[in-house]
Amino acid sequence: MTTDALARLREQVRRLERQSLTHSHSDRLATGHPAVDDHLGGGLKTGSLHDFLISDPLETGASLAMLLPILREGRGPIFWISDRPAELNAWGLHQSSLSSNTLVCIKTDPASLLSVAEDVLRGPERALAVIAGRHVPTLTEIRRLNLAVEASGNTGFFLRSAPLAQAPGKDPCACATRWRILSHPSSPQRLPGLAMPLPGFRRLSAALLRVRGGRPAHWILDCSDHAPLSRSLDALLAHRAPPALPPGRLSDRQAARCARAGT
Amino acid sequence: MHALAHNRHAVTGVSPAALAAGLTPGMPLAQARSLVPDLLTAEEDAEAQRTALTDLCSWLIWLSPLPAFDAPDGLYSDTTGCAHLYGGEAAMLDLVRERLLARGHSCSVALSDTAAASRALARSGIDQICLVPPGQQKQALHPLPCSALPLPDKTLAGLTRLGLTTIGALADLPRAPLAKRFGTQLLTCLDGALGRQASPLSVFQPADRISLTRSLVEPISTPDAIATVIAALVPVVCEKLTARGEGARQLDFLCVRVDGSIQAIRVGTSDPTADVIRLMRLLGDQIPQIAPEFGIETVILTVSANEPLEAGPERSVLPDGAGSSETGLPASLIDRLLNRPGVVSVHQLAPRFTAWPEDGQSRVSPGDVAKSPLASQMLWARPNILFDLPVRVQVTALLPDGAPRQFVLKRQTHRVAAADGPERLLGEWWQTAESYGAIRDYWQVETTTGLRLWLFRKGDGAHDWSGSGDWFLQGAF
Repeated sequence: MTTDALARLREQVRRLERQSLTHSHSDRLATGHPAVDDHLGGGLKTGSLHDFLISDPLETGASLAMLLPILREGRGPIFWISDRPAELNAWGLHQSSLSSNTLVCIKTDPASLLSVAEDVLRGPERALAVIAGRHVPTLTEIRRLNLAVEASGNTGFFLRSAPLAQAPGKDPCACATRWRILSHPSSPQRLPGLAMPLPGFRRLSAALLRVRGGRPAHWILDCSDHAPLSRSLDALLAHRAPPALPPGRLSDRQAARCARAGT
Repeated sequence: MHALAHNRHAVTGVSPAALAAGLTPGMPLAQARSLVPDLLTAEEDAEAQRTALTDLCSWLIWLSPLPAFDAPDGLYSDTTGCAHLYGGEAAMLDLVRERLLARGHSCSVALSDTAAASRALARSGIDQICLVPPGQQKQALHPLPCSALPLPDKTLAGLTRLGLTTIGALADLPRAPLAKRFGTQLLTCLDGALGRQASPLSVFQPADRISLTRSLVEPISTPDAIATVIAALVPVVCEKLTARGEGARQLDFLCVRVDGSIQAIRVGTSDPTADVIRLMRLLGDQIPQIAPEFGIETVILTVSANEPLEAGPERSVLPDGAGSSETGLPASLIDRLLNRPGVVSVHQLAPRFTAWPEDGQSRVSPGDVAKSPLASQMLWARPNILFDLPVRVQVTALLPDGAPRQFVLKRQTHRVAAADGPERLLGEWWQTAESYGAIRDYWQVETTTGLRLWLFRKGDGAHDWSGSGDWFLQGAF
């Protein structure tokens, strides 16, 4: 009882402080890209909604490459609310250093997707919500959610499919920001002995279509390390060491491994 | 203590002081009053006695798990296999007597092979302890009066008239004439006491479940009224839970409608809780599920699953600012979501070691994700998005071991600009016969538009037994 009461009191105080200090640095979730953070004044605002348009199901990965570092920055439990099974992969998320402990997947009826999202966002508990659905929210629904996040300080992210041809993203928007993130060809690394070049660092074409109190912008972003090395380089090299064979008997594949291990 | 018997009042219970003055149970009240003019009497309250006996019976569970009633003023306890816990049978009987005395009861305790013999021994004297060694209850019962057996008054009177005053005298007689004269009940009682015949005990089940019933003065039907009833019931339940040091895991709220049908809602919590606000909000969210129709006349709130409330030292009074409180899942929010209509499932993803990536994660209920130290042992990159059913694609590849150069997905051609691989996975040959020798070669590819996808080919491209050689799209980075 005491713990809850104190926690609630602290939450109230924090909310009061937040309203008086709307532009404090702690209210921003940094994206990890300096150019974007500078443009947005430190990152995406908490206590608001952000809209990510996905032009093609295969392009979801690009939006996730932008979104996952932001979610990690939020440091709260993440609720992935969708009306379809979330096609997330625990291994991949782990490699994106998003702990599987903090991610909760919620599958809802298509009709109650937004009301569940509102419940998560409005509650006194700290939460980040990703709302992945086919449904295009109306202005009224978004304003309702906006009231919820303003009251609680939680942050919501829409991850919705909007094909480029049908919805160019020019429709009115009550979210704080609206993004369309596409993948962009990277600069492949050509290595001797490989028929195909290796993919380079991931490159995103991030279009900030709308931002409240700011100007739209477009960047080509380099995600320097979308799959960080899980351990020190020498451990990786030791693991990939070819078996003790004379060098002339190495197969093509092993030669490729050796070449890659050197990068 | 007196009660009405045969249109006159008879004394049923006396205090030690009255016993010393010569009053005995069974004496007419008028005679007792004439013996002791300033006698303080009270009429017997059978209901209160039964309640008190039930309380005492549920208290007796500390001794053994099988207490039973011997109405109106006795209790059995089957202590088989329990005596060593208290340091032997004699020590156990002393302990029982001591604890009963501490509760303010004068008692007589007896332990023997059979329940009926113990009953007879205990009822033959007040304030005594009687321990009968195994197999000797016949000798112990020998000097006892027949009135120690649970026999009807008429039989007892008949036995007295024949001069059969002790159980020993009764047991020595031939059985057939006894049965002919007094019926089989006498022999059944005797055999039960002497251990010749087993008589079952009706074991008392303590009322362990917290359940509250409220009959309403007028049938209610509005959500506000139901909320008011919930607000009245939940604090009482929480108080009872707190008194027991327990928390509710599951609550059933039953509404009995005027037509006799029952509307039931059930809410569960992810951890034991006795928090009034949390439970009220959980139940309040369910009010739209109730269809009151003509009105609800009775409501029942039952705690159908409860667990001890853990109040360990790990619960600090002040939530620490940046530490565990931020990463932990909010239990109350999880509860609300789990009980919410419209939510199909709430789960977390836990990585799992399997051969094929589509089986590589399990759905666990929130809060159950163990910290998997092995998850960082995956050396190869895995996509964030993984399709449970791989999508078939047409691939032009450099044979036999080479990388895919282009592929066709949904009648759209993607040219591959860069590729990394192959990562060869072998099937779980120890599980099924089809997986034996199955091979998949996985490639991370980047198309000319920058899409990063995860393709695989069934088989090693050279041998038919390893797979068909078809290509599939399994995920997106």
